Amino acid sequence: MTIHKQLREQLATYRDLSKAERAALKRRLTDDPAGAELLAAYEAMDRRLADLADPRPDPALRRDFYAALQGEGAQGQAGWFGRRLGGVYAAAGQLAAAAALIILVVGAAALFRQQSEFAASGSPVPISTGRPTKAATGTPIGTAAPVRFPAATPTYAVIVPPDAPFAPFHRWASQWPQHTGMTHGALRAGLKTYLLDHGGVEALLDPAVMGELKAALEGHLPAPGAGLQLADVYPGGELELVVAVLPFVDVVGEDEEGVLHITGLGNPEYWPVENTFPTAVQVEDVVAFDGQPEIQVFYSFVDGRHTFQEYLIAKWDPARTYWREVLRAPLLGVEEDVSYVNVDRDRESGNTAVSITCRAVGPWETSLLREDLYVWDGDDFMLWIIGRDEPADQRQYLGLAEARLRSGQIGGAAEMYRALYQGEVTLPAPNEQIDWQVIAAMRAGQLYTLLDQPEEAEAALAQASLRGSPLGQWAGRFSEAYRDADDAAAAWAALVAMKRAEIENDDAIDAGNRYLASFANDTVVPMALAAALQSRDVINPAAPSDLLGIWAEYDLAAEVGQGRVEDLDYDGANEVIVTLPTPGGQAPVWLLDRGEDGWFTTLLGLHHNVNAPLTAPQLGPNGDFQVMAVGDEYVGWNGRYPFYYSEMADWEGNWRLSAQPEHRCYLPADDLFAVAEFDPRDGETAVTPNGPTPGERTPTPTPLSGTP
Amino acid sequence: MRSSVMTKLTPAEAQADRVAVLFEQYHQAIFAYLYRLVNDAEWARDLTQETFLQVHRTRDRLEAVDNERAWVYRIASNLAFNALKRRRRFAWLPWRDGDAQRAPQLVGDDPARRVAQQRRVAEALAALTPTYRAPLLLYSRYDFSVREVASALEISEGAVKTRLYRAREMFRQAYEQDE
Repeated sequence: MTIHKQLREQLATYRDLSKAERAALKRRLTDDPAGAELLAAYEAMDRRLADLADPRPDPALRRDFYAALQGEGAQGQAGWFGRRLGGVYAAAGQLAAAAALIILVVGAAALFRQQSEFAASGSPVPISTGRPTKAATGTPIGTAAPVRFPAATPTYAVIVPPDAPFAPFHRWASQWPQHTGMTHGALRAGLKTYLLDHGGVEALLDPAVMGELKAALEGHLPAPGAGLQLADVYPGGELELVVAVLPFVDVVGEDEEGVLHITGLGNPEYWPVENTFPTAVQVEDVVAFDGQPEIQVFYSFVDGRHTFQEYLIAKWDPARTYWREVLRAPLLGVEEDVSYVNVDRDRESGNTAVSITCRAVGPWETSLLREDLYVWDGDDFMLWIIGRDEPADQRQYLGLAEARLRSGQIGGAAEMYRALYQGEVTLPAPNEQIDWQVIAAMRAGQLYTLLDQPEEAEAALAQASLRGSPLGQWAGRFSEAYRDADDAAAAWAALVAMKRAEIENDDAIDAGNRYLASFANDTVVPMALAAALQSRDVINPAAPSDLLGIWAEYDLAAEVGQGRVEDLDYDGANEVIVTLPTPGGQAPVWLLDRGEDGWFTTLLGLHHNVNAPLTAPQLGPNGDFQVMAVGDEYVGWNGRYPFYYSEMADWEGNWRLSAQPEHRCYLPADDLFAVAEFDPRDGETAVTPNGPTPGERTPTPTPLSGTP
Repeated sequence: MRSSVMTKLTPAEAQADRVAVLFEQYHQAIFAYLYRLVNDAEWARDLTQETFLQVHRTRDRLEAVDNERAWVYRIASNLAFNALKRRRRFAWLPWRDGDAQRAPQLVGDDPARRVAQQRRVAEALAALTPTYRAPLLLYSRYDFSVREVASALEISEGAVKTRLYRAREMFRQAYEQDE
């Protein structure tokens, strides 16, 4: 039986009722067994909670607090605090020599002050384009192993990639090479024959022989003379030839892809990277300084909408006898003239730090420069620092807000949207036709409904509807639905119904809000699904069938194609993964998870088609989490953002050991990544990586006690 | 807890004295509250200390505060929520009862049964997100009124009532799941 909202709230706060209100409630409940049962349950709940034993702090807390007060340097009060300490301890019956009590716990206080400063710093730190200079600060992350630099103060030499042939260059899709007619097999066979004819790889040390080979491969190399290098890439003292060739077909085509051949008259190793275009290859001992050169590759590829560049370092792993990607970092998300990679190496310790600038593309088509720092810890590159440009306009600001929302920070996102529409954030509007204010007000209103803040929601939606645009009208109707049903999910479901009827009708949308319409299409359905789970207080769903019933109540079930309930991040609570087929035949895959602010949703990717099955997850690398096949990729989830693996066919076909997570250049929400200033020359600072590193360094999570 | 040494305090000393009184009065309860919010004794300890350091730093506002208890809990809640936002989920650790010192048990009670019951309650509480755990703790465990909860959490009274209802339902669901 449904209990009316007013009664629910009375029951939930029964202790605050006046005498008259209690009497009225009592009378009412005589005819309302469900209400009476609820009240009894709440009374029992309060008794149990009241009976809950409170943990006590250790006695040193008092001592440390007063010492910290002294440390804060209350001027003129040091004497007073000294007296106070004596008085307190005397009153408590504890004896303590005054001198012994003056223990300045500077370390703990200082650490906490740093944390407070960090917490107060809400806005992102602008990207540093130079080398980081300060000692590391920031909050240690979980149980990730700290990286300790040697006590010696090494001298870093900045290694700048040579201009030619290694400098990466950007190619537009329209400029990609034509089909050459050469197959992989033919190239490999031709190279082997050529090398055998000339007496082996060492023959290429003769510039004339090398020149002849380059000429023969003209048109297949990324640039004239580029893509060929001699190095001892397999340990053993013999030279091998590293060849980078262009894809054999046009990028918009077909089945054969660009390959990197490594031929040394021994076992050839290669890995195909689909839809790629290697632009530069360099063999060099980049990490560890163990005499074993790594292969650095820059390559471009397209995903149908954007052109990307990536920087890859592959290291030969003799134990596993295959090439292991130790770093694969995105460089650029959209058209850009500059990519920036800086490799700093310490020859004494073998430590290498690679800083990479990329352009992050996020929600709202926002793009901001992002800087990552990868540091070699002896076994892997750890993602250390991320910096990000400040938003320069309202769209970029809203993109950051939406990124927060997609990582579960509903409150943080709502706050950002509110700050924009209430004028606390003053940034220019990049497109005068788009009303960013109404978008921000609408979004704030939507999010406040999810946060159970009806007054704030109404205020924001009212502001949106004042603008008079079609979006403003939707805000008004959303607000009405919320008021009538007193249920956020009902309001969201009404928005889905509006979307079905109206948003797809272009005539109903003016130019200023056409942009939002396409965006609204993207997110309104998954957010409505999440709102339904929130409204029904779903904590840990067990099966999709449980959820379909809830969604059916809100007339949302028909939006869902397929669904799974899985614990991808092994945190003991299941996530929900659904496909939401579009009229255009696409099958976007969304993940719903329950965070501190409630259920939220984020896009995982595009599945092959609406009929392709959403298969069960597989164990990810290291077994600490699961990954789901979405389209051609495997997607993991760490509770805040998805991370991706491409299947790699190596010599043993064992992609799980060789796969590395792809740190896509997406737009990070502010506190997903702590910006730490880092000086590798500080040998005494124990530092820990700040960014979440999926898989490799995470401990095996322990399930919640009592959770099935 | 006032010093037995009677001295004439300057205004600044009076403020500082008030801070100490608040500390003595509330630090254990604040610690317990923070412990329930962040599920970690050491973290709760640090947050407790910082709470009262913040009280000290803003002591010039004490005169204008009409409900000191709610004010202290507000500072504690804000610190906890900010700290929780920075917490990395992949570093999730199981909630450990043994981290903090236990309060003495009721005399005459069945210890084993009480421990089991307490654990069930604590686990049900831990199943709530901090957004809902905080108002439930303040209202049901620490006897705050709706108005005081609103002041402590800086939300409207309407939002408090809604969250309390939701929190109670989520707690019930989690508690009954263990039966």
